[in-house]
Amino acid sequence: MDREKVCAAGVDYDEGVRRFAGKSQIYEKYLLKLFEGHLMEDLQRELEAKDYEGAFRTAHDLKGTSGNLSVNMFYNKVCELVEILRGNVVDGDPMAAFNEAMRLYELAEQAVRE
Amino acid sequence: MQKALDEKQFVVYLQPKFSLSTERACGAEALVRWMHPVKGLVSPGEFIPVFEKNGFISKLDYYVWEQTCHMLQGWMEAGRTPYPVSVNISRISLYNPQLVDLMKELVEKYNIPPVLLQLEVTESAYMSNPELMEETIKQLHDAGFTILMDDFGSGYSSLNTLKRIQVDVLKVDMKFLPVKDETERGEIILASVIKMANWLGMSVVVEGVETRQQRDFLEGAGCDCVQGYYYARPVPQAEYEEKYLNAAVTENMASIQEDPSKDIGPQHNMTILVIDDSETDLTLLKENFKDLYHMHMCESGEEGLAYLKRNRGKVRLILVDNVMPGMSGLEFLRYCQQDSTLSVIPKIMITANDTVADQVEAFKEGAYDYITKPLVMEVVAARINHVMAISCHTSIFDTGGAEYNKKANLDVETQLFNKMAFREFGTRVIDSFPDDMEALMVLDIDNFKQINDRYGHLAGDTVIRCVADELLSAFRNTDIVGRFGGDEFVVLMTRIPNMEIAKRKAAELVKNVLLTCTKQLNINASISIGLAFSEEGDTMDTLFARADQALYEAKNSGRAKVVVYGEEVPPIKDDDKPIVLVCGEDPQLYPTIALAYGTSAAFTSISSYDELVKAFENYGNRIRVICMDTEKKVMKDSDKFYQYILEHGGGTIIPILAVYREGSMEQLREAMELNVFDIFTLPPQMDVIQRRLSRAIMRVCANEDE
Repeated sequence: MDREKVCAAGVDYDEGVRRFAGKSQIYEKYLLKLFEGHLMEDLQRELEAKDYEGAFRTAHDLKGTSGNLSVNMFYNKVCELVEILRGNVVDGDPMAAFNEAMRLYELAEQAVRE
Repeated sequence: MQKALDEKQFVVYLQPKFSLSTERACGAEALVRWMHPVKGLVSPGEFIPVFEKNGFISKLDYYVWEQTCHMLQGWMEAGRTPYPVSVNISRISLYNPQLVDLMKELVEKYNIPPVLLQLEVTESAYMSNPELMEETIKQLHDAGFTILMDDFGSGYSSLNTLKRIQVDVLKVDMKFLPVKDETERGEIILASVIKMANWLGMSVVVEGVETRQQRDFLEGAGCDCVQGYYYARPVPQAEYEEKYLNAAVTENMASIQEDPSKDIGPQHNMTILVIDDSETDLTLLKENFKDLYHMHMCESGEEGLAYLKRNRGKVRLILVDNVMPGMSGLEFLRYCQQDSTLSVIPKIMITANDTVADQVEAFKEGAYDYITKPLVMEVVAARINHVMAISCHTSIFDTGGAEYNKKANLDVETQLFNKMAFREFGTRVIDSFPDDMEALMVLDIDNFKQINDRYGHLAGDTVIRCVADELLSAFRNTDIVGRFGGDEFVVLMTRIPNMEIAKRKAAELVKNVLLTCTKQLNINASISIGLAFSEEGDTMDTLFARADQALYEAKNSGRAKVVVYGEEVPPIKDDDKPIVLVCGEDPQLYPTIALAYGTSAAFTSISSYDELVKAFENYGNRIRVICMDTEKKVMKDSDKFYQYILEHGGGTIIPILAVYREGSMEQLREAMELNVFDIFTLPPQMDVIQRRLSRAIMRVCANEDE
């Protein structure tokens, strides 16, 4: 994994490794695992079906995992989305937030998978 | 760092090695721990790499070697034949050209046979300069030292290594046998390694053994010695001596009665149970803390509960995630609160930076603390270390661990901490965590002497045990509960997030004790509690003084209540006040007595038979005392009056206080017939009235049920 490229894509690589007790191999393994999951697909589906309760829970999951892995730019966007969906009251434009989050997600994914 | 070394902040712990054939300890590995005065217990994973970089490690190494020699010497001089202890030699120390001389000097200085100080080197250290290592190790060997190769198999060309250096013992890590996939391959490799080592004349120690299955597999594969949490965690010297240092291993193995098929289970209580559905979280926590504690990971609340069923005595802390499919974190907490063996284990909730409302809910359901995601490891470490440090003092559930600690610290009858131990631990907590808020409760049993007089001392003891049991089930393992003798108890609630928790706990305690005593023991016993919160700069004494003062105020204002220092004493509700009937036609009588006594009782003036009957109808059992004017001439229907009172319990159940005016013999005789409890004469003196009325009101009546 190219540390420079990954950082440029919004991932704080050093912070992540530190959190994993300095074990970069394990950190990278779980970073890749994030992008092997299908939470983003689920989220998209739930938003399109206007299942805001489900979407809130999925976004919450994403928030936790991405935060722990220091995928920070993406994480911040997901936080926004979580707030929009909180309490089942949609206060803002969830799709817009989601699309932006997706963009950052794919950006990070690309850098991580290289 | 040098300072830390000089101040002896580094402590040498010993992790015993067990022989599978005898199921007894056969040695130990010396491991260094850093007791940082501010950070608490620091994991070797954190400071060893740093020390390796800056070279301080060689000084630390030498310190550990010397401490170990000192220990061995101490044991030998005490007449025991100790098992060998192995110490680690870091890469840098291995490169020290004077290493061999240093070692020889050490064993000579401490007068111990070299075979007792085993030396562990890692394979990776060898790889950098094989020739130099070979030579060093050969010399050490010649000097009589036993050489152990640590982390065998984790380096490059292990087989080559074996060919060239003289190693006596191979240490292999259980990592060869991962828990989930590829067990078969791992098993084959491990078994082969053991066999090969045995052929080469080396013995094998397998590290990281955590389960019964692993142990059995190793025994079958021909391994004799294991190290790991299944048997023992690293312990301080004193504990090692107490538990493991037996007489020398006898040649006669048949004399060992131990039944090897008995399931031992983890022999310690340093387990942290982590419940989280996210594999990332689980890995994160495991990687960061596995050097310090035994981490057991579960992916769901249900799995966690199943583990707790078998191991609740060993789990010292639970970390539980909030949002999970299936049982949520809050539901898990709630479940634990219902079970008194689980509610005492401190639990920390992992929440994803949610609203304050969620955190408050977590506390309400019994969480001791919370940490937010994304996890900031320094914070997590601080919280975990705090709980582990505190709960090691209050090892109420600790079966194996600090047995030797317990005897001197506990009050014999209740098994709570005695005064000295409480003060010591309490002071330590208050001093160590100056930023925390603590709550101190001082409580005693109301009218305990009267309970003893009335019901006998056995009954009194039962009440004491009842209170002790209530205290034990109400508080967490991180709270310190003590008995200061007689009927006085003290509780220190450590690190509370807010005052409400303590106030609520205290109120519940008062209620529960009253309920249990009246319903189960048929004794009308209650407790009063004085509660004070810690402030900046507090010591145990200053905090105690405030709580004590609050208790005094509780006693003075009706008892069976909680008074918080600095707050308004809650007035007694009218409904709870004892009722005193003042019977007599003299209009001066009622105000005199009522005013003299004050508002902690409710006074009713009775000046006719009808009023008397009505009073008994309205108040019934709440009538505690009847003050009666003996001036018969003053009241009409006085005979009927007296008759009624006597029929309704006057004299036997309800104490009668007879009021006289410079009495005649006639009146006194009447009073005897009435079976009065006490008398006073008019005009009254305030304190006489207070004292006599108090005594009458507080008198515990045998027939008083609800």
